[in-house]
Amino acid sequence: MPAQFHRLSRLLFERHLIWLLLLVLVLFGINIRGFATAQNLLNVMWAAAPLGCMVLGLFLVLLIKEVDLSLESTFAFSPTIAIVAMLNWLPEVIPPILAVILTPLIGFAVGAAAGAFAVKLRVNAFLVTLATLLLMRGAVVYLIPEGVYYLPPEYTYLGEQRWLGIPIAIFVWLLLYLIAWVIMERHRIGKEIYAIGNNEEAALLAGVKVQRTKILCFAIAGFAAAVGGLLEVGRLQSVVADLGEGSILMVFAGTILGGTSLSGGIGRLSGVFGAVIVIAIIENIMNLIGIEPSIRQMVFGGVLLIAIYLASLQDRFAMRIDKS
Amino acid sequence: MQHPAEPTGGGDSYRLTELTKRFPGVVAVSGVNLTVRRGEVHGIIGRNGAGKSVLMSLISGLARATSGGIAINGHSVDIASYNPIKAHALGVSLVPQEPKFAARLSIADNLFMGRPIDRSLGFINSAAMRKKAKAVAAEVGLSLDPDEPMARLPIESQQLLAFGKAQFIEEAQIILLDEITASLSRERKQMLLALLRRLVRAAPERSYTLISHHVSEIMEFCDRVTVMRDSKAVATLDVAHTTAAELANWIVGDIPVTRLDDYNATPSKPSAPFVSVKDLSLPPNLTSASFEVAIGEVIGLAGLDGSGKEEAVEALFGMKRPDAGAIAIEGRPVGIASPAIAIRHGIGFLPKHRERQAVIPGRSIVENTLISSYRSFSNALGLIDETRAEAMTRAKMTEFKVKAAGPFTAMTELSGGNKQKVLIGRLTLSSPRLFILNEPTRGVDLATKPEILRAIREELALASGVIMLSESEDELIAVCDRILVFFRGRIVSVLNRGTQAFNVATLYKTIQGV
Repeated sequence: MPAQFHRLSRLLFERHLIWLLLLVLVLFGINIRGFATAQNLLNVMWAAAPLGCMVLGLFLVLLIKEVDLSLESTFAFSPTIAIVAMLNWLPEVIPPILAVILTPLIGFAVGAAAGAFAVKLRVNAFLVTLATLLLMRGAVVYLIPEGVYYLPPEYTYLGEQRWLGIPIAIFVWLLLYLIAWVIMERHRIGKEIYAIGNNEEAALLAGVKVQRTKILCFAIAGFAAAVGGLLEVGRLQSVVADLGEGSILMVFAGTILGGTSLSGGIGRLSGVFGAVIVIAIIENIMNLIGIEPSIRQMVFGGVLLIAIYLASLQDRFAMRIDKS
Repeated sequence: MQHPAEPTGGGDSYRLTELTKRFPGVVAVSGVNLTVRRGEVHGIIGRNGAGKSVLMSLISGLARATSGGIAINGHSVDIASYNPIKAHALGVSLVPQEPKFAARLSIADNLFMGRPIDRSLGFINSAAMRKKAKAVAAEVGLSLDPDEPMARLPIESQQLLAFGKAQFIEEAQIILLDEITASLSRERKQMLLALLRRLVRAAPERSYTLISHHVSEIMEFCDRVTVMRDSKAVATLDVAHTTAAELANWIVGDIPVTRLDDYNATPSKPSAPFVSVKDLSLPPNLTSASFEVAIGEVIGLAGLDGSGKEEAVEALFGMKRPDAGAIAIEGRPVGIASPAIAIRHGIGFLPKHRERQAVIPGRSIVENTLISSYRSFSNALGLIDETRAEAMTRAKMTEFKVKAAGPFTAMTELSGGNKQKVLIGRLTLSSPRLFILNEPTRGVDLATKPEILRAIREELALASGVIMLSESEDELIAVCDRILVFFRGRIVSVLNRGTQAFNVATLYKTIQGV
């Protein structure tokens, strides 16, 4: 019986805790008017998509035992550069479609740059990305202090429009996770990322190109954050200077609630996917009940605290089971 | 609380009677009787695994003896409740193999940690501590700024300060030095050992117990020496009436400690060299080494710590860049700047520190087996063929007799020996032409050791060359065709299988330079 109990608790804690939490939230939500409608749930997912993209980025970076604080700035910086280039700098050369393609590439580039700085020069990534967080936000405020409210429909298409009544943003988000899942579970690179996070020296001696793979993780994180920015700009049909500002804390909350370890190498994509939905539903339920914004912040503070506690519990559980 | 007795000059510093320490499945120290007198430098020597370090931790209270007696300065201690605090109170201090300091704190703070010089009301007298720290450093031959963080000092200086702390700050009466000389340069070593001799003459109520791997050090600096073999104290000798060769004979004994099968009944017939290394140099440890390895050969590298053998293989695998020398593979000169490049040249490496350098703990046996060769198990897009990957892992698990629930078992759930077999499977998967095995049986249980040695001879050496490093002379003699002995950065001797000199005793003496 104890062995079975252990196996069950391990299964719950390591893989399915977040889904349990989701189930509880949904059961709670059903009693709230307006929650269990298709339209509401689609809106929940729509609003969750940009956060989900950033969480994916942080997930990858935490897996290799690094950190990227600047994702929320990349989230604003990439669309801003693409939009300003499209509207002001090179309007003849860059049509809206090209700007859409350019946006994630800019994110990829800034992620790769920060990653190279941290990895090649062996500077703490926390400090490097703290600096790029400020740098990019400053650039955004400088370029579009008043924001841009008239955007070509091609640029906002992915974030704004629907296919078959479902916001395209949700498809983009799911597609991004699907690709990431294939990479993490079925691709050589994914195995190498997990190996690096678990034991970097062992990975190096096993012939893994550690530096290149780590920089790639930073770059993909930037890419994902930029896609999130593109979707958010489309959803709001505008870009403002404080787009995503302060959201990195919620990104951390989602990644850790999803079971990603701060000490590297541990985490599952399915977990962080569930965590993003959990956060979106909590927000939605508070909206529906009509809770004040200040109280909402307190609730999320509490959620973060619980997430951290659960994450530590999970580590301890895993350790205790390994011992027995 | 017990206090150290007033020194009376002469007499016993400490005495061990029938001291025994059992670990589950192993007796690490077995019925040791040992008396160390006041006013002597007492050597403890023996081969790896003879029980020397465990004995030191029993005396210093770090480990609890299973049975037997310890008497410190004439006081019998209760072995059931003996611990480091009581040992300290009795004047016993252990200087461990690797200094344990708080690296970021200053030298003075480290030296006075736990026993600061107080003014009053708990305020500490920093000026006095700084002054004393400088004086202690000067005693052990160092000139330094006591406000510098400890981490700025090289390990050998930290080692000297650890001794200085025990001697001049704790003023311990019984100082145990566990292979302190291993990390010291030759000059520092001579300086420290000469200092021990001076100190013991100046304060004859003290005693020093020196664990060493070097016969020559014992001969030069100790009054008496106790030889440990197979967890027993087999002899205590008066150094003045002993020769180095005699001491070496005691250490090796008449019968090999663990009798290993001879795995080399049919010596292989090597072809042209696969790799040749010429004048490889990586200071300070490796001065110059030249050797060749052919397909089908097992070459042993032997030598004490710091003899340069480690550097030779680390340079060969691209972990360190040699200062000078040339490496050629199948006659073509190559530069090996990283492990990835070494692997591409057909070199496979099994690191010495398995947990730190090789195991990917949280992941499955499949991933641990395939991590070096995912390229050959994935398509053009890099997508892995899971079926083939799993089948190959199962095949390797059968080939090397890995005991586990299945290929998806997490690596952390395996025993040391089984982990090692998985790692050897990983190595063979990329079919290297040259295997470098650094301590392949380290931390492996007794039942698994022969299996690994057999695999080296019968599977790895079939179509590849093998370089093997081992602390165990028995293993090298059992498996190798040729053993290169490193001493102070050079290859001083080559023992060939089939010759008279190819035996454990000669190998041990050659390693020692006796």
